[in-house]
Amino acid sequence: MKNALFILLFLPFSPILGQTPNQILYKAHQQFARVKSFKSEVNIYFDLPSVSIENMSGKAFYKAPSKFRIRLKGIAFLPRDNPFNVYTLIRDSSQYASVLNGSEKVGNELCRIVSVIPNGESDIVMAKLWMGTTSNCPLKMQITSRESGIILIENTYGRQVQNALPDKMRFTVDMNKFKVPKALAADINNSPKKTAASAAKSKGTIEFAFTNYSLNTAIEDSVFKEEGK
Amino acid sequence: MLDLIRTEIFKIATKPRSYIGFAAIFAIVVIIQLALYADGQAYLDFLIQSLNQSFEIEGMDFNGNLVGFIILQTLIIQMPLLVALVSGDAISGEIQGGTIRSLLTKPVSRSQIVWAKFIAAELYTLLLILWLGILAWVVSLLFFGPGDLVVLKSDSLVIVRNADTVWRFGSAFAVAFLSLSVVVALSFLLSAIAENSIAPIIITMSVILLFTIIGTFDIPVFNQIKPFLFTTHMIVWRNFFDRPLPVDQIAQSAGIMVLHIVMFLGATLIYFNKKDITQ
Repeated sequence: MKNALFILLFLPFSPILGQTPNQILYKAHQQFARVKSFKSEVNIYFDLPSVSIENMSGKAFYKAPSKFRIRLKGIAFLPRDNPFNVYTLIRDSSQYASVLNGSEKVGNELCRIVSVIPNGESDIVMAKLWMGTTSNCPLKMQITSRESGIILIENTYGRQVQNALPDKMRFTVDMNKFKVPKALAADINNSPKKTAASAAKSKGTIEFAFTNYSLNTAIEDSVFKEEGK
Repeated sequence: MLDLIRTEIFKIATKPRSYIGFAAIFAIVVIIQLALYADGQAYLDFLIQSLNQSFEIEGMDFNGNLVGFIILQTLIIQMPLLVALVSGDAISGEIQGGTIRSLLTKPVSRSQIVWAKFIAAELYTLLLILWLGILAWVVSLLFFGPGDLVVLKSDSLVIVRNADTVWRFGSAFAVAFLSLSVVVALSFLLSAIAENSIAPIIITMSVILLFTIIGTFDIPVFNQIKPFLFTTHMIVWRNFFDRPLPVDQIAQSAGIMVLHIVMFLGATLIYFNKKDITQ
């Protein structure tokens, strides 16, 4: 019922740019489907309100269909979900409903905005994808998931655009304000700065910069397991 | 002068109360370490739960650096009492026991006596800080292992990389020593004024307690007073775990603490030189 209503609302906009949303998504999936696995180096840049953390480097691992992990030494704040999950969602067109919501320029590239709603049970509730008309890749993704709420992902492509692998992924995440009782933090004599930014919720960004992609090499499943589990 | 210092060190070493500080630190550190060994990770998870809702937090394990930091910020509030127990007794103990007269018959000036006592008390404080550092940080590293340090503040969180912790802890201990030197100098002044050894200890602790309470409350009137209280600057050791390092603030606070030491010690020298010990 929810999907039917969604389709009825957005169906009139679909034929605007010639291709159906499913065709657009299929093209993107075909590009990404060439990647059975990859490993790469990744630099991570943090800009999180109320968290001071240095940028760090690590290695990123992906294995089809949906295993993704970043391995690094030390403490890091990472997005909760696999950023390539959307390709798992659009793998089978019978598993989702999609509609075109118009077009918009992201950077220098014209994008078609496609909204995707999974048919069955899925962690992703809805995904809004800005699909590049030249690259056929999602330049921007707004993903609403049960686990993590709304996450905005902005992708920048370079050498690996033919495989839909971005050079940069920028995640914008809603953050709850960090607050610990002074007694627990033993933080006496510190008066919190009262600024406009100290609202209950604010946004934080994490950027992945991938380099040295190595595609379709064997990766052990143990790489994706948590230590001690 | 060296003989005088040696004598004063010997006096401190022979008093049972000098060992209370070492025993208290040992007991408190071991109790905190055991408690954190049992529930430390749950405690940390509870504190960062609001961030856990937004992120997958990798590598945030309970480790020796974090245990060391927690113990340091818990104990540093009690350390002045342990220091005052010894330094508050330095001059007034001699007055109360009547040994001050025989001490002043020696061919040394009164100022030299004060300096010798002060240096001996400083050495004692240094040993106490080293003892705290070894137990709270080094032993915690051995038991809990190394790792990135999570510095918890009431409104923010700072992640200090493991490789960056040695110089930060070292500097923090050095500044903590300077903070405790202010307490030594204050209790010395009170010790020179008082006729018994209990009063300087109690007054020193009362002053620190009062100033700390004023510092804890976020009330506008108190906020005006806070910069003038030495206790506000005594916790500057925590700033070594900030990023970017607030060098100006650390230098200012260190300067203010040195000024307090000079003031308290200067007043002690003036007062003790004029003190009538014949009564």
